[in-house]
Amino acid sequence: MRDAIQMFLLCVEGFFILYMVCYSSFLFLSVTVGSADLYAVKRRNLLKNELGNDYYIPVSILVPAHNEEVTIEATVKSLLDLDYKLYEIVVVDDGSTDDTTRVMRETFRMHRIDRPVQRRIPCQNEEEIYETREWKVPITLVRKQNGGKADALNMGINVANYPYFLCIDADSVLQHDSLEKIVRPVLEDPTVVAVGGTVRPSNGAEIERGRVVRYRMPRNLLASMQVMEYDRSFLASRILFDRFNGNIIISGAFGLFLKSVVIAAGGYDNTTMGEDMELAVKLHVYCRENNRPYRIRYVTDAVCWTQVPERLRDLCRQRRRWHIGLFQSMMKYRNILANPRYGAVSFISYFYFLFYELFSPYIEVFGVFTTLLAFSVDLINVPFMILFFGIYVVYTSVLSLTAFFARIHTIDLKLYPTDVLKAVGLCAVEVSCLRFVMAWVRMMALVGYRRKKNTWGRIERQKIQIK
Amino acid sequence: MGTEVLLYGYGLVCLSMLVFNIVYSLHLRGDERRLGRRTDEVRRRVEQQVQAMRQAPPGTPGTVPAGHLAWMSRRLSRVNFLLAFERLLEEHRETDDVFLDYLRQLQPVMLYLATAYLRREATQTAYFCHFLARHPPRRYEEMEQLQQVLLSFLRRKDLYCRINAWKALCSLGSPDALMEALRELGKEDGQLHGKVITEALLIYTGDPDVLIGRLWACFDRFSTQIQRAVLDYIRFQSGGCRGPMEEILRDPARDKELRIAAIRYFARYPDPGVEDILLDFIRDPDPLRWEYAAISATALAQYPGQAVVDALLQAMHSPNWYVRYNASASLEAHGLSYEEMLQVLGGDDRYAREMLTYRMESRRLEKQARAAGGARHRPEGEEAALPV
Repeated sequence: MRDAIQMFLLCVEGFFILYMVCYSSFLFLSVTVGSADLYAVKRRNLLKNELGNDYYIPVSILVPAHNEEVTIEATVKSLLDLDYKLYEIVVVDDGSTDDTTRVMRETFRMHRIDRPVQRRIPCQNEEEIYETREWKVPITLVRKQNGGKADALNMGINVANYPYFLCIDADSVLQHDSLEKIVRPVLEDPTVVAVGGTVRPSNGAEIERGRVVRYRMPRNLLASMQVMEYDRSFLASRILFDRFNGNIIISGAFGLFLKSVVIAAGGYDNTTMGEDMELAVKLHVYCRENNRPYRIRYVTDAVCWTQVPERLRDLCRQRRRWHIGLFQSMMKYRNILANPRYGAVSFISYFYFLFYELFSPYIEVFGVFTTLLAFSVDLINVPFMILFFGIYVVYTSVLSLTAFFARIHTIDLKLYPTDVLKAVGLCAVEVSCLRFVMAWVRMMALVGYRRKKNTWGRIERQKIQIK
Repeated sequence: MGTEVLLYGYGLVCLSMLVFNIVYSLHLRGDERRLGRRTDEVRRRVEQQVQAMRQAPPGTPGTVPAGHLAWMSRRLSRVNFLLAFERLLEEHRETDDVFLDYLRQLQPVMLYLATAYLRREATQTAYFCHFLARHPPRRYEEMEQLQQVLLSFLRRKDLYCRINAWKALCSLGSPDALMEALRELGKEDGQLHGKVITEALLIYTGDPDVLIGRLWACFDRFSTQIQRAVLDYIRFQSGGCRGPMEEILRDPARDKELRIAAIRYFARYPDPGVEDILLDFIRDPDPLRWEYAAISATALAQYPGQAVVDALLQAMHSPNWYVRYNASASLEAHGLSYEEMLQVLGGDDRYAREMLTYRMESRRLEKQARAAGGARHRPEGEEAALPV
């Protein structure tokens, strides 16, 4: 029996060493490539290697909203402050039970209008449509039957007048220059079908007419840890994926899409919870199956500010929803796995998301159980285990800090000594504690998820601090 | 053990990056100060020189000594000093004759810099092109060689090198070089967005009529994408190209985008001679050719006559949303009120009715907005057709 356990643990050890080496290599590559890329972008901008501000591609900004009476006014006002000329704002109220529609109607002096909707993607029926032309750009409000976020976005696409659409969350604020920055890849390369922008936590930021006037690490520790996490994700791994056209996530909080291709691909899937990831993967599949040359880009200097949860319960809910969305997208497009037709999207992106995002909570929890098993049969070298864990924590903390410091290459963020101290203190906590809590939450996410599909995730909303 | 070593190695590299980022961050804080110092240094030298030129005896033009040109060549071949020099030129917008003369005499330096930046990394080359586009040379002797160097920049892989070189060539104003550049840009691996090409052509500093003549002469040698950008440029620049535009419009073998660009041209510069083909487009029931119908519906707003009104009324029954939308806007431009249109169309076609009702209400909202001083984006009487 002991021999069998020993053999089992030996196999597990081999697997974990391979797993960790691959993961460390990925993190290492993403942080170094991300940091170098941000440095290059900053230098390019300094040396005017950029398109001027005179090129306007018409864009419809879609804001799906459900019970957003607290934030919707600030969000739409921030959209009116963008340094861009050719755009429209379309707010889709997905059957809110609060006063979202009333707030929009009264704040922006909107009038009900009988507008025919060209239904190119199926979605729930509209109940009322309001428009106003009193502002810098046209604003449209569609109130429709509840159908979920994907359904609301599909309605937005049907109502949108322009060839490109940008989707943002109703609790997000766009930086004043974000629209001109996010359309640049389209001008740089005509084959671009989608562009993802950078999402940053707005907790702790003071924003005035789309400009960040003060940005510090949030007071709330949970939010601060998410700042580190967002830096690692947006200022590192997405840049690496962008190198080989391998981004299979465009955040629902900030993404630009070519409308005709999204319609041809069938729009957002309202049967999944992670509609943003599903659409990005779908676009890869659609373009490759139809032999259409395409690029899905990610830009670091187009920034959207969004609220991150400050309570553990809200964070758990959000991560649970994300994990279910990831599971649904990965399962729906499982034919990508090890499929040479998809090249790096299959062998790097899909593999990464499968093993290091979808399966990682199970693998990590399995690792903890085998450690306990090894401990119980006295087959573990405890000092070495502690040393190895220590190396892991230090290494991952260094990576997190490298990604955090990479922000100096972005135009608008500055480092403050107290923020640096906070980051140094929290990175180890994030890696050694929060990560395991999240692993447990993600592992439990798939239990009973079918009952809650097509619902809007709720987190406690706060008024956005914009002036 | 190997794993640990690997992790230590990775960690060490990341740690060095961390240190680099911290040092770089500290270095960045002094960036503005350093640029200011360099600008002061260049300013001092340039002002000394301009002052010496001012003191030259009347009637004898002051000349810039070779020593100064050599100093400028050396300094400006460092990109940070070129940045400083650009800042100086931006400050000197209100230029007097002596300063302009100084700049004219400085042109050999630009030619030297063009060859110096040819060997630099792409971002620096692109910046040099940007500099030339902002401050084009003022003496023609060096132009030919400079253009050849810029044309070679167009062949480089870096996108911004190509974009800025293209802008610089447009600002130099030589049609021959532009024709060669457009052929280069039309190659499979060097294509730029049509908007970038058109916008740069619009800053062309030479005679636009001469340029347009050359563009037509070389038109068939360009790629379709370049042809489209050229047609857009001509639309913004000149109403005197009806003949070749009509040829494109009537040629079914031409690319769809080119024919649509020609329709847009005749929307801006109406010509009764093409009314028949615009009517053919709008009457075409083929759903695959809806884009021709939709754009023609907008163009026909500028064409008076009962036949046009009848065709637009007929288009209100089109199954395509955009055709109906644009037709209703054009009918309004013909002086028909939406109430009249509703009467003419009768109440049978729900789609036509809905569209007209929507247009009526939109119009009402626009009037209200204008009365309230809003709708800054759209002046009165200008109805935006939906882009398709």
